[in-house]
Amino acid sequence: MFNFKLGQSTDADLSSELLDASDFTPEKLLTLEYAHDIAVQAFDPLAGLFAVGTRTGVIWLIGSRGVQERIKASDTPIKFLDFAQTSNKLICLDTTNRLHVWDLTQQRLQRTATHKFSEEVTCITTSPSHEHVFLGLKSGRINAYDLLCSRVSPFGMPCAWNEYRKKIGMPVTRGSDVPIALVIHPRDLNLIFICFTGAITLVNLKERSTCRVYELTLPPGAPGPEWAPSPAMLTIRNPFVSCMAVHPTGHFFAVGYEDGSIAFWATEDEDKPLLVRSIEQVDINMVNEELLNLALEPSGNKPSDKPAPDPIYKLDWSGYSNSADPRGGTHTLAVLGGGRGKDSSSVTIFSFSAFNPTDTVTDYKVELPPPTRKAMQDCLSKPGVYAYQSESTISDFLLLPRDTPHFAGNFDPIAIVLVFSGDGDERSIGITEFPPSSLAIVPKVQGIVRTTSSSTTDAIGEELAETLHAMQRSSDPERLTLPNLFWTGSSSVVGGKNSLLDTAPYGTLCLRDLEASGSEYGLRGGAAWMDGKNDDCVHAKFEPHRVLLTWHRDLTIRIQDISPHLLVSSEAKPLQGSFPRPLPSLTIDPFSVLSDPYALERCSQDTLHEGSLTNVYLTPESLECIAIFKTGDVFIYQLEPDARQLKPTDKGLVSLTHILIPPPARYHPVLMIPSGRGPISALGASDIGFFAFAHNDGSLVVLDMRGPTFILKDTDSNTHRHSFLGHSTADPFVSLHWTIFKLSSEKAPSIHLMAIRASGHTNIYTIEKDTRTHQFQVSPKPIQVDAVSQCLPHGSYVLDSTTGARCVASRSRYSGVVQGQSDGANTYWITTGQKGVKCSLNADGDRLGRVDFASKNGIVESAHVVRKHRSCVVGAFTDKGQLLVYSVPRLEHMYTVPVTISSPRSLSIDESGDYVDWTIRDGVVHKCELGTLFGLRRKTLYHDKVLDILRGKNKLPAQPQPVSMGPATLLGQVYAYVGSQSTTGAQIDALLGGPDRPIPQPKETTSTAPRNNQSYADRASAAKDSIASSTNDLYNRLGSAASERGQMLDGLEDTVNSLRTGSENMLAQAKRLAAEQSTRKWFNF
Amino acid sequence: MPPPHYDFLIKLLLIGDSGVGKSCLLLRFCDDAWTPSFITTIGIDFKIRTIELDGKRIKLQIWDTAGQERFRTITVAYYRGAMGILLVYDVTDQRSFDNIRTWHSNIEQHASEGVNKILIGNKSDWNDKRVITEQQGRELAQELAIQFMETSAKINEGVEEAFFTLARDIKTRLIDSQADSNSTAVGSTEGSVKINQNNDATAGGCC
Repeated sequence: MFNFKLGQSTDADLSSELLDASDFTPEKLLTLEYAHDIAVQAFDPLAGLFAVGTRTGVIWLIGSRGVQERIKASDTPIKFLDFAQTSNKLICLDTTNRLHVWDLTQQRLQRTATHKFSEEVTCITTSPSHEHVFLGLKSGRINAYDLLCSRVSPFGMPCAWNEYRKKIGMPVTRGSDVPIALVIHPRDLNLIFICFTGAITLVNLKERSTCRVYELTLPPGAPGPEWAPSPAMLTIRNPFVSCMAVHPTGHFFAVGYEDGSIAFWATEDEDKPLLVRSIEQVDINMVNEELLNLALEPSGNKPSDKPAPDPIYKLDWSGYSNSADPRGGTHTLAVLGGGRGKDSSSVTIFSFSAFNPTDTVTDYKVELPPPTRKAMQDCLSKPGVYAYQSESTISDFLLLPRDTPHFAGNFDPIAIVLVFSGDGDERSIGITEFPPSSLAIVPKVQGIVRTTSSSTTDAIGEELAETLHAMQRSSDPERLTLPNLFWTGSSSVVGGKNSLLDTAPYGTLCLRDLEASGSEYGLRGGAAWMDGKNDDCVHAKFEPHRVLLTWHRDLTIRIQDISPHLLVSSEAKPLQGSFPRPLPSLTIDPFSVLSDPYALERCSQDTLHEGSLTNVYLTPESLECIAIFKTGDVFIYQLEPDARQLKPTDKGLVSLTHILIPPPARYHPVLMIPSGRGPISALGASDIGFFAFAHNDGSLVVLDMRGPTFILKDTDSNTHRHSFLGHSTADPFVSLHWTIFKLSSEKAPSIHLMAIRASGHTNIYTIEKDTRTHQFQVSPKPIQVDAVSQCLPHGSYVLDSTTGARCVASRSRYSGVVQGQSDGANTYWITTGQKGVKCSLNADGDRLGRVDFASKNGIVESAHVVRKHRSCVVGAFTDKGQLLVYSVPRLEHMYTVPVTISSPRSLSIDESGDYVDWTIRDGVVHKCELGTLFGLRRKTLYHDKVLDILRGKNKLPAQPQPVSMGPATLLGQVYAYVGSQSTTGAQIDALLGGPDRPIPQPKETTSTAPRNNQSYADRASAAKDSIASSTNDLYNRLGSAASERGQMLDGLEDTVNSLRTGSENMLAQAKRLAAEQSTRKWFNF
Repeated sequence: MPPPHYDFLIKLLLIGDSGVGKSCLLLRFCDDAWTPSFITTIGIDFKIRTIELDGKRIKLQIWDTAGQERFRTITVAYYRGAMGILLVYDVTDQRSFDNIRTWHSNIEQHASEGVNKILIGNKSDWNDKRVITEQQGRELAQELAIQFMETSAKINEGVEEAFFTLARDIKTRLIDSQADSNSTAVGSTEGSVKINQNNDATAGGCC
């Protein structure tokens, strides 16, 4: 009866605006995936795009400013992936030997062709200068695929290695005829290196002939890469080729072998390599008398104890814009593999001195004069060395060039992508600066002329500044920020939650952060915008701000901005950053604490060695961050705290304010609560400086950050419950909730801690201020009430009975308490548990409602209070995809809404009904889906993404021309110029495409190209027309030449004339340059 | 990039006692040089020279082995890959001549069947120290049913002839007979890789 009267007067229904099931419009807004199974990667420096292919057949295409596209390419793993710059296409090959081609000029990416090869494709390569893809087949045959005509070109070559062996009368070694890599000569499109397992062959495409064969033989007595006396040392060894890389001049190249050897060959000399080395030793192909004598001794003729070197998995040779000499300056060779044993994973960078022989060698009849050979050997002999090392196994790498795709995409790299292997198929990547500063490969700064200092003081000052700058630079390259797609491996997300933020704290937290866009490593391509309806864009502006908090396997804590405002964009004003927007300056790395001797001594050793984060809290106003480790250690971080040193008064608290955190990191550790009583069972955080921690043993401590000091250490009150059999089991606190409201037994609101045990027994602690000491203290006797049993960690809500607002322990409500403002409104205390929900008036008042979940709609996995406008309901998510909706405060079942949630148990949901659905496998998040229960007028803003992938694409630099091995003489330049006229990309296309090449006529544009991007589309179309017409012209010329001999001779004459004209032009240009240089010399420049 | 400089590759092996002048023969043949100093060959090494025989360019890959007994285990590994073997003795060293039979039996044991061989009596210019007459050498060669020549690396006498003779024999045995049998099969099949086609022969052939 009393209850009824109360209900009449106080228990106003808060669910009046959510009475109908149609008020719920659950929508999935955005899916964030993490690429845990990367198989291949590619980079386009012209378009500024990065792409990865996965083992599940997905391709991710990533640019900057929100450009990220998922392409389901195949059902099988992606084996090769590359960009074709001339034709603006993305190509991939899957493990079923299907070649897929996408046209990047379309806003909705279209697969333009798929071709299935009947034979296994073992390698593939493209050139930025022509439209063909070369494919190596397992039989050794080389085919070409025409991207312009979408067909396999008639050009084909049988296995060059087998043909060669047959021709010279040598038997083919079994397994040596598989092509494993194709490398186009960097300065002559007509030459292609085919890496067979047995040897490298250099093939002339026009002649269809093998020019050179480079086969490595380690003679008996040569120690080889093993560099130890062994039976193998007494044998002839022809190691299998595993990879190769060509020097930017094209005059020499490096070959990696499966035994760990690296042989450097001069292109012009197939007889003997210039140098053969392993990662550790040089001249491993020379007979070593000392080791040979040991091997010949009876005791020495046994296998070496040292682990054998790993194969050389990959080589990339890079030149840099660091020399005026056309042959380049200091150059680097990046080597993956060749180390010994499991702990040897690294990418070794050799930096070689410039290959700039100054003598003109003309007296020798051989193609590689001994002095030139000596110069090559000298430049290779004493390299600088740096190793990119990792605790994880490095399984691949990719260099990201600054601006040119030529030279196999390795010229002037500015970053290196390292691919790490994890368990099973797990692969992750990291991006690091390249080249390492310690190798001192300083790029030439264009346009800067160093002038003589006007005074000695200036010179000293300059030198001092340079020295200081050099000292400031760390010798280790800096790791660069990755798009969140690559939060895998050690960066894998292990947990997270979304959070609403008011405007002021949002401004403090987010607005100052500059986004790490990836532009520092060339990820700058494309543009994206959301083609949402105008109403939705307007609506988004009124949405609250939201952030996404994640914690990771490497113990880092990261915050991203997921406010819908960021998505408001248009074709004219595309997205300015990625979504979610990363906030790297807010990243917390607990390693700074764990590497501090003072802190390390006081925290659990397990936190350092096998620590993992179990939960992280972000207080929405004070923006403090509390990290809880599995061991029970708790670190508290504050956003840019003042310089005050914390001096805890309790032994159980450790100040961390002495630890310096370098900018731009904004979160600083301030306090550690070492795990004294084991793992934490619950944490209650507030914005007003109070924290509460409960442990699995049933104990509870309350911390006041003002000391900081513990104001409660409840270690023995009701910590255990007794079973019927008389056993005592711990009854730990499972939910701690700070709130400010008025209990029924109180006259005015005060600060309360709702401490709920697993059994449902609840202690309501009240914080009071001692009038004498002005210190806060906990009321000696907590009020005891009953919540729902098996309460969820966030299952306690105190709602204002008139507005439905949550009565959180916020700064404004605290201010009201301090100022004695009486907020007499009644409140509803709702507790949600695994089996039901309970609602009481003012917590210690009457019970207003209770419901036990029925199993008819599935097992309830989580239940939350959500609010829309002034209405609140309790929503319970079941394992059968149903949302059971209950009214507040009576908890009557109103209706059931279907909602697709993959993991209701790990769902995080904010007050407004926006949720994050975390898909967790093997302890890491593979996918998280952002969704909302109230999706009206929100869906289109997220879904209708439009991409202009190629916006901002740079012009393709000209195909590099041959350079002389000797110094840049006038004659050499003329020869180089004349020679360069021999083979163009179009000629190669015509050669490979054959006489019947069906060049498609350019279609009338059906592209949905944006209006203001028309200029680009026009240019692309014009370029395509130009290519097509030039190819047509060429084909016509070649076709006529084949049919009519006279015409061919005429054409030849024309070509000779054009060459002569070219030489004359070159000569004139050279003379002009010489005149200019002499003028400069005159002026002492 | 010019076309390859050879049509065929022939692997030769020099064997014989230590100090008979194998390395000097190789140095003379490949680099047209000679040195009086004696440097023991350690293990094995090779040099290359391309010669022209009957209009065909033949690349000779000549392996120089160590004569010392302690390296025998590694040098025999080379026997099987050799197409021709030069057995070298020193006309001033009886022992080296006597050991030729041992070397020959090693060939029989380890080399491929039918491998071409030639017996070389080196240092033929050193008449005042000579202990093995040319006739003795010829008789031994006849006994072993192999070719014979005397050479002097120092004064460059007979060196070219020795290598050319062996190379010609190998060409006759391996290449000419193979070419005869394959003349219809290999030919100039469209699309096949040609090791040595002149530019003018194939220009525009693909179109």
